Amino acid sequence: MDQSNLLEKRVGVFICHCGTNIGGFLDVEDIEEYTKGLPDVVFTQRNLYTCSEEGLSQIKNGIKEHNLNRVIVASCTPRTHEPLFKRVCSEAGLNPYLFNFVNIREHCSWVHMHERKQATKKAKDLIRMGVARVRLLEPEEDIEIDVEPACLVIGGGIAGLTASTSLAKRGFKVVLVERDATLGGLLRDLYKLYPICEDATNVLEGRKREGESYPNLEILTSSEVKEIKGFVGNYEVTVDIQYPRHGIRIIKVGVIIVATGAKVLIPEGLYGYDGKRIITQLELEKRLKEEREKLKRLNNIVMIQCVGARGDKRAYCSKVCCMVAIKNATLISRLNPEAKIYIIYRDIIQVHGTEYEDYYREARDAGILFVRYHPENEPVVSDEYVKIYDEMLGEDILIPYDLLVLSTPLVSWEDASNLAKMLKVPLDENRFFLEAHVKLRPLDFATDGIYVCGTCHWPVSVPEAVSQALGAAARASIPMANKKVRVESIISEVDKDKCIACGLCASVCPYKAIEIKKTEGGKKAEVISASCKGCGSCGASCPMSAITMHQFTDEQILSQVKAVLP
Amino acid sequence: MRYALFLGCTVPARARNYELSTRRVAEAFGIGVVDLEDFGCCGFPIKSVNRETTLLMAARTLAIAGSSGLNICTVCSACTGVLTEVSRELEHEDERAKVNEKLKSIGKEYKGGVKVKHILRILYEDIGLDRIKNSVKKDISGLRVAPHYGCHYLKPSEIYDHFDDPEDPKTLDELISAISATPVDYENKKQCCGGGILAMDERIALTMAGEKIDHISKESADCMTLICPFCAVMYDDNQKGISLQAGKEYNLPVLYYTQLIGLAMGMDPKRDLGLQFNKVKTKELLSKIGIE
Amino acid sequence: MTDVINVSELDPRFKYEIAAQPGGENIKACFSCGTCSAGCPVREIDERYNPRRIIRMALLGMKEQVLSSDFIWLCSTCYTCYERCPQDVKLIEVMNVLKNMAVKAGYVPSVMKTQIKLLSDFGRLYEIDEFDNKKREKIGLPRIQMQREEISGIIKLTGLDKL
Repeated sequence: MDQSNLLEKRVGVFICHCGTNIGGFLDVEDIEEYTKGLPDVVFTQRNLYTCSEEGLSQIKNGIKEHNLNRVIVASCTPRTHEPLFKRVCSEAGLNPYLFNFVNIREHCSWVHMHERKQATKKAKDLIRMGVARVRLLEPEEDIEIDVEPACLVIGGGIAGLTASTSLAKRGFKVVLVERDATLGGLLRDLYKLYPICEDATNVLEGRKREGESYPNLEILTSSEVKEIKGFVGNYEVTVDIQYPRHGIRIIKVGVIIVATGAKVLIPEGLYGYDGKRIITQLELEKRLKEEREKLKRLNNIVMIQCVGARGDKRAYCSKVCCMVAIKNATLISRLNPEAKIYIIYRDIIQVHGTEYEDYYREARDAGILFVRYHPENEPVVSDEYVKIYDEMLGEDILIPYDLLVLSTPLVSWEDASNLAKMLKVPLDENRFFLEAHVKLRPLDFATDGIYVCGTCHWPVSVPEAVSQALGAAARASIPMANKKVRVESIISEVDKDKCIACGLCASVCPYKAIEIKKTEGGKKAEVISASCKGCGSCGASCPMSAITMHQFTDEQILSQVKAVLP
Repeated sequence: MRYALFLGCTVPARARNYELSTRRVAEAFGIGVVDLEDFGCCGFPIKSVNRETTLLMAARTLAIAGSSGLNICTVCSACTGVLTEVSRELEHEDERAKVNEKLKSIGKEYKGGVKVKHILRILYEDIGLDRIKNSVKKDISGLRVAPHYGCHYLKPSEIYDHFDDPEDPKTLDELISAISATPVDYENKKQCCGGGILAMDERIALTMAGEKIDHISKESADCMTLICPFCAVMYDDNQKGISLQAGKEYNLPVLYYTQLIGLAMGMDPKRDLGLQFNKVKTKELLSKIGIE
Repeated sequence: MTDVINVSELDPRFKYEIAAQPGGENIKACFSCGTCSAGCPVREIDERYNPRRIIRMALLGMKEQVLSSDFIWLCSTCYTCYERCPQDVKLIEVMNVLKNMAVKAGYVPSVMKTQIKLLSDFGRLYEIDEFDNKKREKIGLPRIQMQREEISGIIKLTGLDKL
C-alpha cells in the first residue's frame, strides 16, 4: 500500500444528471456549488450521464489532470455501474477501492420527486456523508485464488452428459458422477422425442459414445456425492462409489455443475390411477417401446392433461406434457389409424414456435380430438367412461376408454435438499434448484463456482436441457480458463491478538467463511477470504471488537453518521 | 377494352336500373360490353345443394366467354365470387380436364385463361380515379353517401389478388370521393346484408339488413350506395319490411354506384339511370343536387 | 339440466367423410379458438347459428344432428370467418360440404327444391318471358334469351333433378 496516498487527500466528486432522472428533480448546480466547499474536495464536475463514454473519460481526465486520489460518483444505484466506475478509476491509475458511490437517484430524486428543495438538501447531506467516508478509505487489492482446472458434474442425464462432453472438448478435466448404474436419466425411459420423433435411445447412445471418447472425462456410475467442502476454485468432494468395487474417493475440483434431473409424478389417488389401464405418459412411453403390438389393438385412448399440476398442491406448469401428449397420441394414431384418441386439456400453451405448432396441427389433421376442460369442472373417471363437460356444446360427453393416460408434471427428487445443503445453494418452493438471477444469471447459483442446468432447475425439454448444459459448461469454463478467480477484498479480518476464540463469529457466518483454527498463539478465528462476502455478521458479533470489516470499518461508518448529524 | 357482360339471374329481372346505368356508364368510359346470348345462371344459388353443379355451370359460363375470346365483366357480387373462384380452380390443367369431360355432354369446352372482374373494380383499376374525377360534370359535393361493400366483392381475398383489404376496404370510398361526394363512415360498415339467408330465415335476414339501415341513418347520410343486386333487394326492396319489423320509419335512398356516378356525369336520372325503379323514392335526394 | 352425449353412439368417421369432400379438407385443423363465432353476423342475431359449435359437433361425430339440423342452412356466406380463421379451416366451404351432405342424406329445404326447378326450367332463377323482354326493350335494354337446355343438362348430369 502506498502510504503517500494517505497524506494529502484530493477528492474528486462527479455529480450525474442522469438525463432528467436526477437533473429533473434536484438543483444539481446548487449541489455542485455546495460540494466544492466540502473538506478535501479539490475537483467537482457535473455530467449528463456519467456512465456514458463521455462521462467515463471525464472521470479519467479528472483523475489525471487534478491528481485525484479519492473519487466519488453521485448518481444512481451502485448495482448498476459500480464495477464500471471502479474499472475506470483503475485504468486511470487510481486504486479502485478508493472510489465511493453515492446514490442520489433511488435514494433521493426518485423518491422525492415533488419536493425539490428538501430533496436537494438531502442530496447535499448524502454527498457530505460520502466525502466523509471516502477520505478514510484505504487502497486494497483484489484477492486472487488459484482455480483447480477440474469440474465435477453431478448427474449423468442428457444435461450432465452434454455439459461434461462440452467441457472435456475444451481440454478440461471432468468427473461425472451418476448414482444410477447406467447413464441417461429420464432419457432411458423415453421412446421418441418430439418434434421430429427421433429415437431417444439413439440420442443417448450418441452422447454416451461421445463422452467415452474423451480420456479427460471420467465417468463414475453407481456413485454418489456425500460431502462437499471448500469454495470456488478449491472444492473438495467426497464420492461414494458402489460398483465395481466399493470405495470412497476425494476429488479436488474448481467448479461444480448440478444436473441431477427430475422425476415424473405418480398420480396416486388421482383419476383412479392404477398403473395398468390408467397410466402416466412415462409408462406409456415404455409400452410404446416394448408393447407396440398390444397398443395397436386399442381403439379408444383418452389423455388428461395437467394432472397433479397447476392446482393448489403444485401450482406450476410442467411445460413438456403438452407436446409429450401430442407426440404420443400421434404415434399411437400412426400405429392404429382407426383408433379414437381424445386429449382432454386445460390449455395447450406449451406448443410454441413453428415446428411445434405444425406438429399440433398434424395431430388434429390425423383426427385426434382436443376437448377443453375448466379446472372447476374436472373430468370424472368411471370404469368405462371419462365424463367431461364440453364447453363448446354446453353438454356433458361420455368418452369410453381402453387406455387412460394421465399427463403428470416433472417433480424434484425428494433428496434434492440433501444436495442443496451440501452445496449451500437454495431451493425454491417446489424444491427445484434456485438460480442466482432469473434473467441475468440463469445458469449460476449465487454461490460462486457452482452452476445448474436441466430439469433439476425447472421442467424443460431435451433441446432446452442441452442448451442449458452447454451454457452451464461455458459458465463453468470461465474460472478454469482464467486459472484464477478474483474476489473483492471487502472482507473481514481478524486481529489475532484480540481474538479469544469464543466461536461466536463462526456460528453466525452464513457462508461458513470464518473458522476457529489452531495457530502458534493458540486457537484463533481465521477468515477464508475466498468465501467471505463481507456481510459484517462476524464483525457485529465479536465481543472483543477483534474483527475489522474492510471498506466498512467502524471509523468509516461513524464518520458518515457524524457528517449527517447536526 | 371489351368485356362480355355477365348479368346473372337477378339483374335482368329485378335490377334493370342497375343494368341500364351500368351500360350507360360503361359506354361513356369506352368500356365495350358484349352480350353473349348463351349466358344463363352462374351457379351460385345451387352451391349449397351440390357444389359440382355450380362448378359445371360456372365452367360453362367461362367456356362461353372463352370461345368468344373475351374476359367477363360482372355486375352481381355473388356471380363475381363464383366465377372468379372457379376460374382460379380451372387454371389447373387436371381440374380443367375433369370438368371438360363432363361439359362434353352439353357441347362446351373451357380452354382456360378467362378473367373475371366486377364493374366497380374495372372502374377503379382500368379506368382509374383520375379519369373518373375528370368525368364529373355535375357538382354533387353536397351529398353524403354511405358505402356498402357487401361480402362477395372482396372475399375470399385470396381469389381477388388482394386488390382491396376486406378488413379495411377503400375502393368504394375512393370512388365516391372521386365524384366529389362525401363517403360517410358508420358503425359495423363491413356487415353482411343477410341476402344469403333471406329465403331460409326472413326474420334474421331483415334484422341484419335493418341494423345497417339503422347505423347509416344515425350518421345523417343522404343515401347509401352499393354494387350488388341482392344487397339492393335487402336494403331497397325490403326497406319497408325492415321498417315494419323494426317498428321504425326508415327512408334511406339506395343507389347503385353506377347510378351515382351517372348523376355526377350529368346523365338523365330516368332515361339513363332508371332511378324511377328504385323502391325508396329518390326525389328528395335528386332535388338536393338540383335535379327536379 | 343437461343431456349426456355418449361418444360411442356417434360416428367418428364423419369428420373424415367431410375432409374427403372438396372444400372440407381442413375441418380437422380447427382448434376451437372461436374467432369464427366472434365475427359471425348471423350468430350475433341468433345464437342457434354458432359456427364453432357446428364444427365441434361435426368433429365429435354428431352426424345425424348436424345433417338434419336447420342451423347449417343459416350461413349467409359472408366469408368473415373464412378470412379470419387462424388455422385456415375454410369454414364457408366446410359449411357448404355439410349442406351438400345434408341434401344427399335427404334433408333438402323446400326453397332449394324450388330453385332447382327454376334453373332447370329457365336456366335462370327468374323467368324472363315476352312481357319482361318488352319492358326491357322499352328502356333500351337488349332482349334476354332463356337458355335452359344446357343448364338443365348439367342438372340432369349431377342428378339434381331426382331430388
